Amino acid sequence: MSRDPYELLGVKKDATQKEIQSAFRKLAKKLHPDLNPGDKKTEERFKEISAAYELLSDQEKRGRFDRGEIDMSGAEQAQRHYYRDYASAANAGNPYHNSAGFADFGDSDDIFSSFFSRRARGGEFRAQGQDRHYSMEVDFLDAVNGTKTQIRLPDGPALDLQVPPGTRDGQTLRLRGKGEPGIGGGRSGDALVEIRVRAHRFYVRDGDDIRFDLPITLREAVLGGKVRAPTPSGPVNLTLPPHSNTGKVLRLKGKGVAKKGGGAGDIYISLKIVLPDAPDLHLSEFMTGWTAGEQQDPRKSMGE
Amino acid sequence: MDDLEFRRFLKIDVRALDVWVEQGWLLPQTRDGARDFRDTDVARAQLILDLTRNMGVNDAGVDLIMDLIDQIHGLRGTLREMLAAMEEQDEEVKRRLRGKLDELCGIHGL
Repeated sequence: MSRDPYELLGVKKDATQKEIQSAFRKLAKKLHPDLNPGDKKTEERFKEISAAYELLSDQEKRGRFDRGEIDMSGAEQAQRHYYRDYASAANAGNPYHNSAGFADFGDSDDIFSSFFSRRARGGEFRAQGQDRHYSMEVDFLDAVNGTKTQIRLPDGPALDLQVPPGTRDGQTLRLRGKGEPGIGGGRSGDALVEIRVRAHRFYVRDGDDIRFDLPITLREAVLGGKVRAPTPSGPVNLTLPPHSNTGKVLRLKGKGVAKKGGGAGDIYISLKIVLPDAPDLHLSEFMTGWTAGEQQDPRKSMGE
Repeated sequence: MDDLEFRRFLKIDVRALDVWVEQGWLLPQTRDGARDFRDTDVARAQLILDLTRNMGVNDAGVDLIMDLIDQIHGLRGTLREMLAAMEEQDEEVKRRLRGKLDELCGIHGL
């Protein structure tokens, strides 16, 4: 080690003791191996600046060095073990072991968090069992009205599953304690069943509302009258006003899907005029003589 | 080493050593009713000396620094054990862990 101690500390030849001390402290904070436990390279440099500081901080030694009587090799330091070498050796046997740095990792009950909380508390290992995930198809009306069904787990007994009214497609039902068993007395995980709702022939779910098209005859459309319409909770009678056109929407308030917090959505029925299945001679004759029908232009709003 | 050897080696007086032990910076073992210091205590004491003699840290600062250093070593030890445990997993699990870690690095811009 024959380098220049002034250069090592980054100070001028005529630096005051105060400047030398301050330069050393700055470097030592950056280079002390125990303050940089992950950086192996700091050790050699810290050794150098420590030797330089030892030489320059001593007025007498500094004077002799300046006069060329000694060089830095006189200040060479004995081989030293840093605390980090012991601290990193083993967590278990180290009396200074401190796990406060992750004591809060154990707040949650899952398998990895409990690893940390066990270390932080020094207690025994306990973990909640894993959740198991399943999915299941349910008919549209069963999802709307609710139902009780059984789910057969691939590797377990059949479980009763209560599908609540208003269950949505993609909703997950939780069966407490029906997942993997816990470890070390921890509670069992849950079975999580994702519900897939099958599409209905004509009902369409729109949040808590239900929409569908109701076919009506030409006669019902023109003259109005009572018609019977299905709903998920059973058929209802509707009164159509005279001249009810295709696309007219009737709302059945509170007849839709049960809402989470109580109450229910609505049903929106969209009328759709349907001609008779077979051509009708009388109807054709009437239309031929119905001159007003020739004046109507329902495509006017479309331009051209 | 015993009390006297320890103090001679470090060139400290008994009052200073009593403070260090009292503060919990050093946790010597006890043998035949006397303090007994291990190599790890020597290395730790040298760090305390570096801090107090050369780096201008006062007692309150040493207390803080030693506590943080102990926490860092606790974390480093646990991290090392986790890495070792991850290393022992099948290739598929390792690949997925690596992918997730890369993803997290991407999020944090590392």
